[in-house]
Amino acid sequence: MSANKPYKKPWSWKWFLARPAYKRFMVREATSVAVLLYVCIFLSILAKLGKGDLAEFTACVDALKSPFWYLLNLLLLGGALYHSITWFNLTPKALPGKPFQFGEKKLGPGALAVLAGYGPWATVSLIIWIVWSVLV
Amino acid sequence: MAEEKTIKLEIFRYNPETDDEPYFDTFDVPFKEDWVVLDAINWIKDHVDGTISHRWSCRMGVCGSCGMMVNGDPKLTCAAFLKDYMPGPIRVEPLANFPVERDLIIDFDPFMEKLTKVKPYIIRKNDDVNDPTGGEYLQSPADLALFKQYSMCINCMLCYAACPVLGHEPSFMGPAAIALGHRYNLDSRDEGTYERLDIMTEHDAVWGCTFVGECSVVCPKHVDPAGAIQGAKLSAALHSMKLDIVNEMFVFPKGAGK
Repeated sequence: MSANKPYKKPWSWKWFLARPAYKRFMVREATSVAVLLYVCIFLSILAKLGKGDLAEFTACVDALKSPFWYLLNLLLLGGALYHSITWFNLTPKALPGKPFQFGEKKLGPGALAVLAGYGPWATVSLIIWIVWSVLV
Repeated sequence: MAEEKTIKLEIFRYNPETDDEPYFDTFDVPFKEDWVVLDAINWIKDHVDGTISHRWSCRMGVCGSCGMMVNGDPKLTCAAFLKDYMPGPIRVEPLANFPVERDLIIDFDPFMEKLTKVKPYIIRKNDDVNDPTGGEYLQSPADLALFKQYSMCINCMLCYAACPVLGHEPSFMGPAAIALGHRYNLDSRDEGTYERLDIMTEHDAVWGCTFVGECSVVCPKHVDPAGAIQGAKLSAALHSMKLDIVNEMFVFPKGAGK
């Protein structure tokens, strides 16, 4: 006699607790909220500057010097860094093989991460720093 | 004489004829330095309980039959050494994210259907691939290197057991099937990329992947299905933006002839 009664394990909302890598994935995804919040703060300050009211802009920048905003910005910076670094490390997987293959040899994930993630990041940061040093 | 060293195995049991819910049976198994979990299960079946049901074949990590969850990790049990789990116990369960037929045996029919769906064979537009006249299709070692890694899959389904998307959405095409489709898309002898991409971009295919990445971590053959899926996403995105010229220049070589 055969019995076609397969057992199906019920799905649990606590699935991400099953493996450490799932938890890291959830943290990686959740830290995108830090990027979003920082962009919102940044854009709202830019909007004040865009309105041309320098007094309002200065008041806003002064308000950001309070311990609460320092702490919040520090947390958001930590989240944004974690998010960026984990994504840079994943970038090599999303790149096509052909442009980074020389004969039968392929560039390793470390080199690809520098080429597609850390390199441009460092370059853009350097340009901003130079422009900032000249202007301010 | 010194007492023989043993290790405990907790084995998932489910008999569809008598059980409504699964349970675990615990067995003491002789510990041997060179034994793997599969040896221990075979020893139990031979010496203690012949009713335990499990799949296995080659015992050398090639056939892909003996995949099970070992202490929560998808493993080929022929490559999971008891000594790495000392002092135990070792909990052995059927592969996660699949319906369980009995004990450690899963139903992999859905997996086989997904594999066939991606058209995993060389498609030519104008010539018959089964016609040997005129010789073989020529391919350079560099073109082979582009997809060789993705052709090493042994269909062990460990990647399906590691994928939380599949646990939540059983209809998701899954890592191995997408990697196989991508392997043919990257093959310079193939001309079926765009009909395959149409299938791979359907609902529950490449865009269902959230890039957890564990499929590549557990793969015993280093196929890197997560990389294949991201590559497939890139070519699918370029295809949907009518940028196939970019696909053909930078993503996959085409046009191998006889």
